[in-house]
Amino acid sequence: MSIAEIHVLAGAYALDAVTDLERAAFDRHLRDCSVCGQEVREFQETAARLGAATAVVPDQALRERVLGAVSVTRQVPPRIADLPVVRERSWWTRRAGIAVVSIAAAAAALFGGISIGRDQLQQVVPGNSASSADTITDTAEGATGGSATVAVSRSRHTAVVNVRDLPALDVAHAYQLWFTGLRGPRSAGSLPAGAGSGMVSLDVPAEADGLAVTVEPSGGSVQPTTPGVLRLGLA
Amino acid sequence: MLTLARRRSDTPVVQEIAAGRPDPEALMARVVLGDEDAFAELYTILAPSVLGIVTRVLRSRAMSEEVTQEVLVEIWRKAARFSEVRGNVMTWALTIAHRRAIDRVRSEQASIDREERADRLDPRRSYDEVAETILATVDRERVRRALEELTVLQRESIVLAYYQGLTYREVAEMLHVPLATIKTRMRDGLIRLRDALGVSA
Repeated sequence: MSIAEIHVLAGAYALDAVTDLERAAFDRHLRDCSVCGQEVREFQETAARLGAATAVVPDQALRERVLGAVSVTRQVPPRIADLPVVRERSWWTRRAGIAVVSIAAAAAALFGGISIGRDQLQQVVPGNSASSADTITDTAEGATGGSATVAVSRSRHTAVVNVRDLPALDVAHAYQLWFTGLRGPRSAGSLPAGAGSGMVSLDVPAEADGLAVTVEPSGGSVQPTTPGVLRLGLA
Repeated sequence: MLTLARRRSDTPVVQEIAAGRPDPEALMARVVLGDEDAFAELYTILAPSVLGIVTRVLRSRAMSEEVTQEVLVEIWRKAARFSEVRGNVMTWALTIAHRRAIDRVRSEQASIDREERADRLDPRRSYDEVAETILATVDRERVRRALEELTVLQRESIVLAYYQGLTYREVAEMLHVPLATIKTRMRDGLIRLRDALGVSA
C-alpha cells in the first residue's frame, strides 16, 4: 500500500472498518505521521459521539456484575512516568529525607540478578531487612500500628510493597506512598480509599532511597500534607 | 493525564468533586489509584453508551452485556494506561468498546449463515432501529442531524461501518462502489461530522 493510499485509510481505521493486517500497517504508519495521528484522534472522538448517541439503560444486574468483577480484579500498576514530579522541597522533605534509613546503599549498585513480581513476594520476604543477590527487603512498623514490607530488585528498578493492618481510614482518605530522596517526595501511588492493607508494585526512580507512607485525601495529593506514618529504605 | 488534586486547607478532595457533576477525567484519576467508589461513579457515566454501541454492533443483548462487562473491567484494569493516552475518558471507553464489539462480530461471523448475515447488512436497519430503551439526549439529536447533512454515500459508508461493523471492503461490495471511493467517502464524511459536532482533539 502506498503512502498516499494509507493516509486515506484514516477514516476506515477510526471506524474499525479495516482488517487486522491493515490495522497493523496503519498503526506503524501512525508512529511516524503526526498529521494522521491528529486526524485519527479527531475521527475517534467523532466516532465516539456516534457511539454515545446509542446510549441505552443498562440493567441493575449488569452494574452488580461489573462492580463485583472489579472488586476482585487487580489493576495494571501505573508506570512511574505517569506520576507527578514534585520540584520544590518542602519542610516535610527535609525532615523525611534525613529520617529515611538506607540499607546497603554503597553495595547495592554492584548487584545484578533476579527480578521480583508481586506473586513472588512471599518467597523473597522472609523477615526483617533480608537481602539476596539482587533483592533488598526492609520492614517497618507503622507509628499508629500495622507494618509494611518492601522488596526491591535493584537491577530491575522495581519494588513490591506489602502494607498490612495500618489503621483503617474513612473513605475520604487513603494511605499514599512516596519515594523519598534528594529530589524530594514523589508520589508512588495510593492504597484504595480507606484501606489499611494492600500490595503495590512500583517502578523505582534512580534517585529514590526510601519510601514513606502518609494519610492523604483519597484522590491523592501532589505532595505530602501530613507527617509520615511509616518509612522504608529502598537502597 | 493523571491529575492528582492538591489538597487545599482541610477540604477533602472528594467533597469538592461531589459538589458538582463528577467529571469523568477526575474520576479516572482516582480510579488509577484503585478507588472503587470512583469507578462505580464512572460506571454510571460510561455504561449506557458502552452498552449502547456494543448492542448496536452485536444485536444480541446477552452477548452485548458480556462484552460490555469485559470492556468496563478492562477500563478498571488498565486505568493507568489512560494517563498515557490522555484525552477524553468517554472517547477512550467507546474506542475500546467498539473495537471489542467488532472483534466479536468477526469471530462470530463464521457461525452466522448467509441469510441472517444479509439481513444484518441491510442498510435500512441502521441508525434509527430502536430495539432498546434509547436514552433521548441532546447529543443524540445532534448526531442525527449531522448524519442527515452528509451525502447518501458518506452516510451509508459510515453507518454500515460504525453501527453495523462492516469493513470498508464489505461496504464497497454491498453498495457496488469501488474500494477507493468508499475509503475516501468514509474520511470525507468523518471530516464533515467532526466539524458539525464541533470535535477538536
